[in-house]
Amino acid sequence: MNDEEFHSLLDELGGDPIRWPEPRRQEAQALLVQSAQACASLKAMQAVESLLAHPAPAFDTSRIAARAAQARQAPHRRIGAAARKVSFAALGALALAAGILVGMTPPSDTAIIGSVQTALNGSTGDVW
Amino acid sequence: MGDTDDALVLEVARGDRLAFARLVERHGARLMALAMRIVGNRAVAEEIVQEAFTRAWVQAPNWQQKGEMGRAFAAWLSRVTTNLAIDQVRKPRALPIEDAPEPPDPDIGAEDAVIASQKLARLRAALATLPPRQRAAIALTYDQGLSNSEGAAALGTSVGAFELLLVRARRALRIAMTEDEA
Repeated sequence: MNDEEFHSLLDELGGDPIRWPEPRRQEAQALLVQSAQACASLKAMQAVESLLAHPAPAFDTSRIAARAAQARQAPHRRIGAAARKVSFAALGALALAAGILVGMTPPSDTAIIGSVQTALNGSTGDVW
Repeated sequence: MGDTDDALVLEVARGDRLAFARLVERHGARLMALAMRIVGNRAVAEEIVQEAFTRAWVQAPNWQQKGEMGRAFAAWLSRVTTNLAIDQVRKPRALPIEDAPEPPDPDIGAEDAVIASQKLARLRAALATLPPRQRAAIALTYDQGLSNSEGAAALGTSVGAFELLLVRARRALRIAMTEDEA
């Protein structure tokens, strides 16, 4: 086994020799005795896997349960919806307002109120 | 009320909020770890987990009708969370990768703790450069402890494709950490 083949073994099966099948394990162990590069690669892979095993941060699930339980009666809220500054509904309202300004669209009161409400509330469609 | 996923999902289908809270308590932390690993941002990860559980709650009555219950519930949650997280990462707006402080490990000294923290930060940076599906493959394997076949199912792909994602991800992370060690 050479360094390149050893790298393939690491990438395929990870850095724990227990997962390496024979006879590749014996070949790898022979290479590790003589190759500094192989040793460095093994050390790096084991560092990756050790860090990936780091415990996840604590997570409060109580809010999740409370909020999700309200969802059968309420429409879906999009992920990151609060971050979106412009929606199609808002663009529609802007277009309507522009039409009013140039006198091309004689608006009714209910049309204006409806478009503004739509813009404020966002789309009512279920995007999921 | 039984305490298996099967029993709890049946209760959730009937609108039992306590059973739902029990399922959230049981699966929430692992889904949070999964989403966090893929999106690298706690607030967005929480939204994703929220959305996954919201779908579970909304769709629970349908599971009862279709006979799709607790046996597959954990896998379903993993699949939904993974897909939501990948979709989120693929959006053009960049998410800030958090460098949240880790809880101190009482078994190591202060100097070793600093080195470990620096390595973790480097790993996070390397993870952030991976394509979303490679990140998901890493998360499903190392955070969720899934086999390649289970991971492939969660990602909606073949076992061979999943293994290829893992190989590429491991290679990229190994090289990143090797370069940092050099």
